[in-house]
Amino acid sequence: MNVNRRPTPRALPQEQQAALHRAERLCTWTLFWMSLVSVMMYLALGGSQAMKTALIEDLLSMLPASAFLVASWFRRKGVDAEYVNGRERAFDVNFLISAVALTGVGLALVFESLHTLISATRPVVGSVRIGDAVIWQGWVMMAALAASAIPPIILGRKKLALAKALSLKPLRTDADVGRADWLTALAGIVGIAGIGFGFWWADAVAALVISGSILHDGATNLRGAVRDLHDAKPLALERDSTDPATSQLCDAISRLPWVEGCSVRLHEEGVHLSGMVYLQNVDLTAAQVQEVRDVARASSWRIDEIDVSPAGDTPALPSDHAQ
Amino acid sequence: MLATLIRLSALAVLSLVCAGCAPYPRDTAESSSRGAQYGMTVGASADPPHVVIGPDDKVSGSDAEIVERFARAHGFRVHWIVGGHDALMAQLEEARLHMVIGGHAKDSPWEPRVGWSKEVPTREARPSPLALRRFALPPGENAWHLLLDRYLVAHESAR
Repeated sequence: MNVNRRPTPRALPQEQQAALHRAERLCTWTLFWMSLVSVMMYLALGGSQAMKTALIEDLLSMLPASAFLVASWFRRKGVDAEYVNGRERAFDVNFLISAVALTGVGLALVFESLHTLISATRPVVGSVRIGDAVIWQGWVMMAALAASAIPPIILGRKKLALAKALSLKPLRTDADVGRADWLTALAGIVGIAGIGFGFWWADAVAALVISGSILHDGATNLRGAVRDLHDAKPLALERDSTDPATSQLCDAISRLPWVEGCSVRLHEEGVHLSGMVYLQNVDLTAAQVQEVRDVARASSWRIDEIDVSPAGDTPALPSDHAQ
Repeated sequence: MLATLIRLSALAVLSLVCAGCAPYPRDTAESSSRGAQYGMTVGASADPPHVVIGPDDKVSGSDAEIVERFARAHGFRVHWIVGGHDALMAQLEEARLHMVIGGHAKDSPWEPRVGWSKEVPTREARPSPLALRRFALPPGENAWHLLLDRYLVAHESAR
């Protein structure tokens, strides 16, 4: 049996390579800071439901960052005898893991806060002795929550900027998880302050209010990850429109004087886009196929492997991007 | 994102500012004010020598003495309710009692459901540090919990 290996994937441009390295460093920092935050939260943990959920969330928020680092390392190993199609999809798997983590956080929040409300559990917030002074534990918990919100706010903003530079969805989801993190922390502060006013339901309601937005983010990302694993039509980072690389590719190929019309079918493979270009031309020479590939790669740094098919092999229209 | 951050931070800050305006933290079921007005209702479950139940349901022992001293210090009357441990704890969970003394195991199954006071060494136990005593408190009664803990740390830990 002769197994044909795919050519080594296209190297990222300098700017994107640097962005990827920065993203890896950010993820390492995320693991460091969120480990510290988790230990601090565990030590300050009282009977507050929102505080417990915030700790679960801090632990879960390390999952996308860990998955990103593993995916990045795995992807670098490239094509070999086992992975004949390369490992570009490592980031797609990472995207799925991150989306599952975010959905998990949302579900945990909904479940825990509903459970607290339905069972009418009164949160136990005791006292802490500091030297000769005895203070309400709620103050310690609120301070811990406030401190826990700082790393995800800073890291999340940096990750979002890099996700845009790299069109990398798992990093975007990682930033969403960070957003969920600090939202939960701030809602937790409001909830514990409410407990202090004698409203036992305050922190469960605070957690429930924000769980809606987190669950929505999780479900949207999960749907996106499933789409990508099915090689669905590539979407832009914000998922509100088709990836502009698709139409850019069509436009660039249509500008070739000998092309009689084209349509494309692309899919995402991590940072790259690969797929088929269908031309209306009946016959294609090897040089023309190569010219289409060169034009395709020049149209966007994300385009990697392109197969070109002449009219006889063109599937039945309709096509979204027929030109 | 920035707008949400600002709104939530403002709400958090507002909560903290309000907290500074009035007695804070407060009770969910008004244990502190009920204690001051009608006296404190304390559940006692036999646990000699710390909690001894006499033939006429008179409660004595080192734990009971601490409760009496705390009540005197704040001008509260004490109403003793003698009963089985679990029945008393069930009442405590609903904040119908101010406190339950006696019969608390180290790994009590009631641990997360009710509050626990700071540990204090008892007369019988001293100088052994192992026999530290603690009292069960109603959950959600933040001010009441703090009032007792502050008394225990200030007056009972060093006795």
